[in-house]
Amino acid sequence: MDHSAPRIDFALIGHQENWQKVEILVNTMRKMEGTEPLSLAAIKDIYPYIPPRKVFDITVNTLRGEPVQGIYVETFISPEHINIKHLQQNLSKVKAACICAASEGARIASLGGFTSIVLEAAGNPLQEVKNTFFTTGNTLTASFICKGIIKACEQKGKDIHQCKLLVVGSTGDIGSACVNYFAGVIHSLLLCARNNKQLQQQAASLQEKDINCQASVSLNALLPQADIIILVASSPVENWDTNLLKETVIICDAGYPKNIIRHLPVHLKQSIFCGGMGFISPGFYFTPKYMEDFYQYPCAGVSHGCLLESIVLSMEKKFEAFSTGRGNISKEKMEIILAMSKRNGIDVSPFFNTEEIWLSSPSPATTNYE
Amino acid sequence: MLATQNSHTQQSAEYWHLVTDILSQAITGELVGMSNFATLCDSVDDVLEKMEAVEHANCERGHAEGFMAIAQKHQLEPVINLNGYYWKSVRECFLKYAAQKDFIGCIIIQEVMLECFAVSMYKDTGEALQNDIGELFLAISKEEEEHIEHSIDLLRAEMDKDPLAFFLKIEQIHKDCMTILGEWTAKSDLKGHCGVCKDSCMKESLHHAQLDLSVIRGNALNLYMKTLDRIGLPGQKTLQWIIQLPA
Repeated sequence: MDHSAPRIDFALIGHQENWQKVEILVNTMRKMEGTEPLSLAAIKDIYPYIPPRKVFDITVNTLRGEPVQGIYVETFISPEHINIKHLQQNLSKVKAACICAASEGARIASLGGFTSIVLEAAGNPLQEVKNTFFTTGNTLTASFICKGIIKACEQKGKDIHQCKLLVVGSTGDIGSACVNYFAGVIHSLLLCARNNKQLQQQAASLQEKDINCQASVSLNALLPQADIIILVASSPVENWDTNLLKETVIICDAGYPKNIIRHLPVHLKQSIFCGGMGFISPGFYFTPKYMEDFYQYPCAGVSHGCLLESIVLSMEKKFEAFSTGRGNISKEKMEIILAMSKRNGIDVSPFFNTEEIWLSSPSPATTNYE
Repeated sequence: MLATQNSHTQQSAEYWHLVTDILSQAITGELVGMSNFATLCDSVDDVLEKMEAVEHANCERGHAEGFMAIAQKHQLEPVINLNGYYWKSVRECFLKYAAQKDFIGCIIIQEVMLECFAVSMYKDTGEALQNDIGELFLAISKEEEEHIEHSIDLLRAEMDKDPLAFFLKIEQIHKDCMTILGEWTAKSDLKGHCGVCKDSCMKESLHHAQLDLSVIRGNALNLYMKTLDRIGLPGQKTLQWIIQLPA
């Protein structure tokens, strides 16, 4: 017997951001078999031991022709292990997930969220396995963040050319893409990252091109000037002083996990939105029907840009390692993937945060499922 | 000399109570394995398979004897009770398939489900004990691993013949057998006292040997799932099986 799986269009490799989402996923699976829910403590005892594997099938509709078929592969990384401290263990799980995606016959796979470390790392050993191509999805994420910022400024009546933009995590793959995108467009750039050497190199490189910028490893030192903030990495915001924030600031939270809103005073809650997210206007659905319980965004049709990148590429039949390595996202590539995305009906998502929809454009009511 | 590092004077009484209970479970489990292979010998018609079953039964007998000998060396008195709730249930589950002359069903129970738990738990125990008892657990874990390897080739070939029928068979056996093992390794004794531990459940005393039930159970289920993957079963389905287990 031939054990190779029939080809599918795409695979999405991911992880859960917090234990609440893990609990929902596990107990949704138990509910569908008529089994009593497990306590979170019992779930925590088994979840990290599950080897990476496919969890459900995904069908995504497009404005151009037949829907594309894919799968979601869960890495089963514990939410509290989504950090550099557990790098080796995480790399091993992500690589196993990549092999799983290839064994399932995916033509292209996105490495969502933290899992992209495998493709961003030096050496880049997993661009292709068994004719499956891998992409971090960072180019589409960066595109959605940047276009989202422009749209948010329009809706809040801000002149982006007069704004100071703070990028937290500015030296990372997505952060540096955002910096390069807005360099020369925005009034000035405020750069913040953990690694001071890389940060100073980035600032020096921009200043050589006469780009107005300021860099600091101290977030609080830059906060008072910021009109717009992009939080890219799992940013060190626990110690930020929210009193330093401008009343009119716009904050795009594109990090993992998305918990910045907890640190904000009430009057600023309408200023923050989850960035890097896309909206699939023709709709998508999961099989088995986990969507009802598992889907947790406040409006329908939303997904992460990084995951959507492989979906868009499969809709375009461009099976290639589109986003790999670190610092390779050009403005041109961002425009290319965004154009492909739009013509298939996928664009920047409505503005929402973990508590509510902020500004609803485009209207979620237009979404058509199944 | 690891063997002399953990003498009775160096370790607490609680530690040795725990080691006694661990040996009790291991000896009883090996004897259940021996009985299962002996039964299998009667259940198959093929002469080569009969001979192989006897060989495996003898191998499990050897493991049980090894554990009994080391218990005696350390003046420990393990409890051997094949009628304890969980082991008896596992044995009855095996006998159900043996009665149907279901050779493949028997192999799945003994060489996949029980051996995955044995290999993983012996390895964790062996690494934690760090003495001659631990060394024995590690050595037997290695030997049992060979049983798993042997079964993977056999079962993969069986799956190739009729994937759907094989899938349905292993799904049913999982429900029958792994539910028992799931209850046995749950945080609390879901079905009362196991009948093998001397006093209270040993799961409450594992910390005396730096063992952790969550890790032991997790590692065992991890090996089981990886083994099912290697046989060729769909990972999405086996995930659903594991998620449904009692905990």
